[in-house]
Amino acid sequence: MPDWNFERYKSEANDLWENELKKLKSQRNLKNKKRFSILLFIIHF
Amino acid sequence: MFRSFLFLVFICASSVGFNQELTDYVNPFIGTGGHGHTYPGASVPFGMIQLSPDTRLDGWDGCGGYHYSDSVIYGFSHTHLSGTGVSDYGDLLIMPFTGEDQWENGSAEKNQTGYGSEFSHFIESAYPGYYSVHLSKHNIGAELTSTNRCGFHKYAYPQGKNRKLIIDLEHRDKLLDSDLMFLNDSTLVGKRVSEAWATNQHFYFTIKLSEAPVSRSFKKNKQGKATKLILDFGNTSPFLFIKVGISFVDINGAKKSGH
Repeated sequence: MPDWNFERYKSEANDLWENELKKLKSQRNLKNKKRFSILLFIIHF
Repeated sequence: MFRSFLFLVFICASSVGFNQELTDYVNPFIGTGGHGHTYPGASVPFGMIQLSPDTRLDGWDGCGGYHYSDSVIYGFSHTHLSGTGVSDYGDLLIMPFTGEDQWENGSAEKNQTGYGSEFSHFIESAYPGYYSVHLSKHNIGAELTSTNRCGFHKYAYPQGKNRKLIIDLEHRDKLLDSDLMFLNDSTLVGKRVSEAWATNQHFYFTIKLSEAPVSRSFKKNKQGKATKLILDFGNTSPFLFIKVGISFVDINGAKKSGH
């Protein structure tokens, strides 16, 4: 921690968690995209 | 027409959902009630630091140091267990306060005296990597965040009051050995060897203060070892920042963690 910028470290900690959670999300993304497209198609037509 | 409108609404709603960060869905207070034994404080993924408030000093439901049903915070310590059935950690308790010097946490007198403070869940928040609370007894705003091996405290004191801080190495565990000394006017190093679940746990730390204290008082045990320290920073500014690096090996490791 080279400086006293609290907001910077707070934001970096949040980003680290966000990146970890995205790893879980990417595994489910493909399946969800397919479901979402089908749902949109059903609603619109 | 209605279908197109519905389609438009659906697109808008779904795009809002996609822009939301995943951490917005995380509630660190889940598990802090009942028998969850988790803590709500600041940490990073696989981080060494778990900087979190301590509201409970013993008991099975005190394994994480915090219980949602409690109303008094005794301070913020740098290591916590999550989900265990045996208590440990709670190393290096730091607590900001104002007013008369208080060496005890106040639990024995139901917090009539002591440095512990009441708090309310209405003025408490947490999300991944961050925790904040208002300590109502001292009217101090506390914010915590962390990196992998370093804890970062930010305290906002009331105007005109002397900013005080206690470092308590006797917190929770049985203290076997301790050390606490100034390296320079705004840097401390020390160690705590304690016994709880682990019978001989070594914890080393370095504490960097954003400014030098105007006065310092040590409390020593019968062996002449410093176990508590009260610092007074005066009232020239409402803020105080503290960075704490830790190691389970030695003080040099703690210094590297703090850099």
